[in-house]
Amino acid sequence: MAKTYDYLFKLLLIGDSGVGKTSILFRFSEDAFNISFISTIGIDFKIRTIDLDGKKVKLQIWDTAGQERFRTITTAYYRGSMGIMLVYDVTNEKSFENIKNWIRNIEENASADVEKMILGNKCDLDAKRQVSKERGEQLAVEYQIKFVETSAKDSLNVEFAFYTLARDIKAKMEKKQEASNPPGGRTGAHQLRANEQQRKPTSWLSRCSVL
Amino acid sequence: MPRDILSDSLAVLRIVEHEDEENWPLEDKTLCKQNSKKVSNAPINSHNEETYTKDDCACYYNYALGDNAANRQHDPIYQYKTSSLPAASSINQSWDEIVCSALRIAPEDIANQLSLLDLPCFKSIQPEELTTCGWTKLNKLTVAPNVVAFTKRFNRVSFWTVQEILNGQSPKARAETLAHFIKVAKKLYDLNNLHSLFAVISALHSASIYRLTKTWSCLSKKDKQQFDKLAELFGEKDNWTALREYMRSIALPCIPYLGIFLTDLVYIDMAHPVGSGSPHRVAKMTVVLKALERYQTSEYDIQPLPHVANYLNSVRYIEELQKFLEDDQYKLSLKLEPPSPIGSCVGSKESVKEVQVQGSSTPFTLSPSHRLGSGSLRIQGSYSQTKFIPTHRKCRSLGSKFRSASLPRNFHKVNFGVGIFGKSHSEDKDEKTPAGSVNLLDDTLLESPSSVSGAKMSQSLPYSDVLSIINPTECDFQSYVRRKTIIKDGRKISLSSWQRYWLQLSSNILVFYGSKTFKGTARSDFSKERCKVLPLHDGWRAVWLEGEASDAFQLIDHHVGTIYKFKTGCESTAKQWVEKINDVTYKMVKPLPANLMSFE
Repeated sequence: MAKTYDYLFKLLLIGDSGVGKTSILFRFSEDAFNISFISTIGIDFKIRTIDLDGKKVKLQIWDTAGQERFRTITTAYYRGSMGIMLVYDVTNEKSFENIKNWIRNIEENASADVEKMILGNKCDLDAKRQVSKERGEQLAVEYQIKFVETSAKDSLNVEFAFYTLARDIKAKMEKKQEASNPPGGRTGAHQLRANEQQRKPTSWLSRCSVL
Repeated sequence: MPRDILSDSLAVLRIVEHEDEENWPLEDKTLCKQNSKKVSNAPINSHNEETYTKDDCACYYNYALGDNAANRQHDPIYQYKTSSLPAASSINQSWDEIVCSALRIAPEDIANQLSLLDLPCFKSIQPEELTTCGWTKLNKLTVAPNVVAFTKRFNRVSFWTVQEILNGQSPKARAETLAHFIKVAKKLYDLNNLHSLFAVISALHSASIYRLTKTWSCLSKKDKQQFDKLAELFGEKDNWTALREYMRSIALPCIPYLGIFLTDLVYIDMAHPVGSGSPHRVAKMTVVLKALERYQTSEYDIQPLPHVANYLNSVRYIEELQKFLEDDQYKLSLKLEPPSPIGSCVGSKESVKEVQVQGSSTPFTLSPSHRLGSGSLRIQGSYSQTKFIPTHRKCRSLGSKFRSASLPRNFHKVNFGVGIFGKSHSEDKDEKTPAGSVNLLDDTLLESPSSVSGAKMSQSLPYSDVLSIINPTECDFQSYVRRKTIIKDGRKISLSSWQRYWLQLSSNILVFYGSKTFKGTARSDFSKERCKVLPLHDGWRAVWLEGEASDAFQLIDHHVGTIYKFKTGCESTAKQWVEKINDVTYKMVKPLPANLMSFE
């Protein structure tokens, strides 16, 4: 059977219990949870194929919904993932603080060049807000990760977030492919970075190649 | 018979999680009685027997209190009671190295007893906890207490597995424990205990263990393959196809991995919210509940082994501190096998082979962690070890801050007081679990501070809690003593000398103060800082050594096989110590159920 897509990206939704990861997935996913698929063997309903610059990109979204309390998010879970959505709830300070813990977890477990994005979900609940948009932005700057506030309920920025993450992954992949070709019109910084990140250490510590 | 004593020594027990104690199938007393007989011929106990010979415990036995005490050792009911130690006993690992490790228990026994402990916890999960998705709510502890308890069991087994492996000082030692746990996993698989099986698999997949390439390279190919095969079951691919299909194929008894059921419920809840009035909600949820209900009818025909269960229960795990524990374990892991500085590829499976090749030319050097006390998880040196990191331009260019920023800023300064994980225990005065009304991890509400340690206290504890000790001026009895260790954890101490202490008894806690002078016997000759703390549990007995020296007495821990000899310099003081100590420890023995014989 011919492939119906040009790229397949494995994306993870990570964040505390109750921040609305599943709502985001629900909002974005193709079948909007065609309920007959839940707990059906062999059918992955958490997918959506999008069109990016004329290429078909299949997004396979992994979600730990309901399982956050089990300590199962390990190297095995992260393996092969290319993009990670870090989700917190703007009405829950702790979930925001825990983003740092999740980033650390990613640094320890996932490949170093995985693309990340921070989502401040439930931004429709302004009255209950505990985390300002500025703080979210600040955190994102600190880690050099893209950031956007979303509302799964109002369908705000959800599409944008997935498209942005997918576009970044695609750009990185294409850059890598270029890099593996004989040097042509190389341009500085980006190229260097792609080279450095070809290996996949689990730890941010091991990224250091020179002491 | 002496092997039973050693079995007891396996039941060390500093800390007990009361929640599990409740779950232990105590009600079947006849079973327990039978067990006491069976234990002596059961082949699965041969492991203990070997250890016994090695440890030469017989000498300890001679010091026992006589028949009465010896009989108590052999009674399984008595052993059960040892698991009801007052919370204060949680402190004693601060001075006592624990003899027990998972390696000393046969994989089959571990898997069996884990299953016996898991099952009641699993069975207690109520449908209402599930249909409300209560475990995802802030008040999860009140609306879904059993789901939370069950997930906690999972995490505890997982952390314990990681810790046991990291306790090995050399790659070879760690590989031995690793192989041991793969065998445990296989036994869990055979028992259809997918819950604990996944807990062990997750532990081996955790960053702290998975990155230990030297350790993995010491593992036999067979074990490695076994692990890969078991791990395949838990791939999330295609909506957990492997696991779902496997579960469909097996017969009861089975303790399933609850996680996928929870995921399904969350999705149903999302697709058909409570207010939607959708008939699908009830119908779909019922399907999930029915499946779980069927698993809840599981029964295991397994003999309880109290000493193993006690050991497993003694593994302390405070969910609140999970993050810090994880960090500590990761740091210990980095310390044991530092990431190779150049072109490192740690953590990926492929790299195992690489290291094997490198390893043959590079002699193994002792890691700095050798200096660490075994099991100590303090951050200490590992912090300084990471110090070079920020100097690298790449780190800066990537914006990752030193300490990875994901650690609390002053993480290196934080002293949690309590050893985060059973074995280490600080003696600092502020030994308080950071408890409050809110979960430190995720802001969820806690029932009470006591639930921090997960303890649904089955009773109010009659003796002082470690946390509330110790006002040095308030004590029940105190005097100058000299102490000598005769037997420690079942091992005879050949080179032991007399040490001078000021000894205080406060409630059930013995506090030692080191000497400042060479000779003095007054309080002022001893330090104000306590140097050792020994909580007494009901296994401790004091005996006056009249025949040997009238000013001397012995303090014996029947659980682990430890004997100290004390000299007080005065007959009446010695007698008073014996009286006071036994007063405390006898009272700790819980009254036996009326239908059982008393040994007092």
